[in-house]
Amino acid sequence: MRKFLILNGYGAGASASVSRATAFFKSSWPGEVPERCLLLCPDEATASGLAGRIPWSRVTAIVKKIYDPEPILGLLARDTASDGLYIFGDDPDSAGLAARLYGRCGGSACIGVCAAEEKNEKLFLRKRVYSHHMEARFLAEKLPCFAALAKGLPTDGETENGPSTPEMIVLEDEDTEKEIIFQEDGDGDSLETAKLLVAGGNGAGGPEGLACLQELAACMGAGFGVSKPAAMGGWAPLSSMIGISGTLAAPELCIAAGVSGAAAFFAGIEKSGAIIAINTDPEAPIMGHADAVVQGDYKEILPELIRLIRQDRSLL
Amino acid sequence: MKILCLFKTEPDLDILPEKEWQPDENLRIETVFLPSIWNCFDESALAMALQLRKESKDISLSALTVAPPAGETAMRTLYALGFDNCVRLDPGGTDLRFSPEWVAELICRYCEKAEGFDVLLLGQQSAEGNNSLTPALCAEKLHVPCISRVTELHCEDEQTLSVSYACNQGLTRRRISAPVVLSVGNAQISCLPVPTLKAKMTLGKKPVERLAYGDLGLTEDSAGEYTGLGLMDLEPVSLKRATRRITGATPEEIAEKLYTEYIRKALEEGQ
Ligand SMILES: Cc1cc2nc3c(=O)[nH]c(=O)nc-3n(C[C@H](O)[C@H](O)[C@H](O)COP(=O)(O)OP(=O)(O)OC[C@H]3O[C@@H](n4cnc5c(N)ncnc54)[C@H](O)[C@@H]3O)c2cc1C
Repeated sequence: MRKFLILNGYGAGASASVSRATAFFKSSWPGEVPERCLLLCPDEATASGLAGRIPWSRVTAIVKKIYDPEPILGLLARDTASDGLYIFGDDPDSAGLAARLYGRCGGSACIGVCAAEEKNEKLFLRKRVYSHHMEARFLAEKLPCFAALAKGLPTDGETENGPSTPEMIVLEDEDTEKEIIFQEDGDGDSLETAKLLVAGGNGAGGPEGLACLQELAACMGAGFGVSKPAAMGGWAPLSSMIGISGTLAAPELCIAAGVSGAAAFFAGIEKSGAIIAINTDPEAPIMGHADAVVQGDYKEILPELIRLIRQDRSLL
Repeated sequence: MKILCLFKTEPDLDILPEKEWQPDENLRIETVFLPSIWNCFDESALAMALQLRKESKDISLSALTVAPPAGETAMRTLYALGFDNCVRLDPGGTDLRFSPEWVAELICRYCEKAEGFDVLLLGQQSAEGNNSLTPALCAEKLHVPCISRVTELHCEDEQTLSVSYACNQGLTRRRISAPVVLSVGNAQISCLPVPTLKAKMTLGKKPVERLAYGDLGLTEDSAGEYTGLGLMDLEPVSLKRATRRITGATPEEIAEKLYTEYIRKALEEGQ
């Protein structure tokens, strides 16, 4: 089975995503070298910067200012190897590309792969299913196989070989009538790296209910995130959503109040060093998954906590 | 503009107690007794379709689900909310959890039978299978573009939509001409309105169009041929930590314990 890496160099998280993908490859196939690494990049400088993070030499960059899967798909589908395993990065655009390429070329596909294993020339892939309650192990019964990685896999540390010049294929941005407006995607990336995190949810009952959580986050210098219902309700920016559909955070300490801790949310805080949960319902899932749990109304406890932190800080 | 919404109601997995997450010998989890809820992404897609209908009267709205008869309850709500046509495709005994290829084939065959749609609108992933493949597979089978992670839709004219979507480069908006497949992600429009009782009593009684595999020229046996992955094993994910209950007579006392035992240290380390 020949293995290829297809990595997306668009967006602020590209460098970390490339590191996670190379780390995944090295840990899954120690000592092996991928047949080729393809980097999709907005410009040549990004391509050579990211190529420097890839520990192998056969790197080709497809350069196009604005990401558009259609021409890239055309290029990739043209010479897909029938015995190939195509490993895509952990970003959503890569998952979309893997799915489309599978639709075009056939074989098999798995989105959200957290582990891979080759045994007796058979390829097994693991991923979380059932809203992250279960982990499934699949056999890729057909090749080529298009596998996009799960979010939150470990990185390689700071592998930096210095900029290198990959082979470049430059695609023109077609002159379309399409109106394209980019807006900054908020601070999802800063939540990913926050050392301290305060998270709220549906238990807040509305944006006003989040105020004391936001105040706590501000006085701790912590990131502030919310569960899906709170983000969908517009109580906080979408970019502050935590969980499988949002950011996977890994803070040293996470305070989660007014969130049930459903598996899809919990996946976003499960890598926390310590988790404190405050919930009125002793049966809420988070009450069995946190390090310290308080059964109670966070709206009564947090003002006291804020007072203590401020008091202590004023003594510094 | 003819819009086909594809949706699924699914068991509310969040309320299944931890000890019940044990697969049987067929690697299935018993969920039949759990209440059904809209898949959250599909619900956004359905709500967006209704929003589009408000913007233009020239839009026809159909909804298709591949589900056993219980799936028709949701369709009564959709009729009451103004959908023109609701179709249920009976899956028989097929295990659809990890068969997005089969589901996509059914959808595309239905599209052909219904003489095409301008827009296919559906959520990005289901809870059980978490496959994240159906929208892309439909687009490829129908040879039309696919926009993923759609967050907002507006009608520009008879054949054009203004589509906002998330991508690695940020939030993007562009005009898209039909035909197109739109896969809905984290959209701010996330809840279907509640239909009035009157609408439920009148519109909600419209008959659901029922189809079987045979109506689409397929048989149940062929489902397996479409799948590329075989499920070998299913294990519960363990999230357990050594949990400590923090109690106190007053909120002050609890806050004090949390602060001295956990938070102060973390704040000091963070400085
Ligand atoms: C495919 C898929 C993907 C998903 N992705 C995500 C995701 O990325 N992120 C995400 O968050 N969810 C996601 N979900 C939804 C997820 O399954 C849950 O529905 C969601 O996390 C519940 O959010 P919640 O805990 O805020 O709300 P609820 O389940 O309503 O819980 C609110 C909690 O607050 C408690 N509470 C109420 N009042 C108070 C109070 N005053 N003080 C203390 N506690 C109080 C209640 O006891 C309850 O436990 C996804 C679902 C699916 C199907």
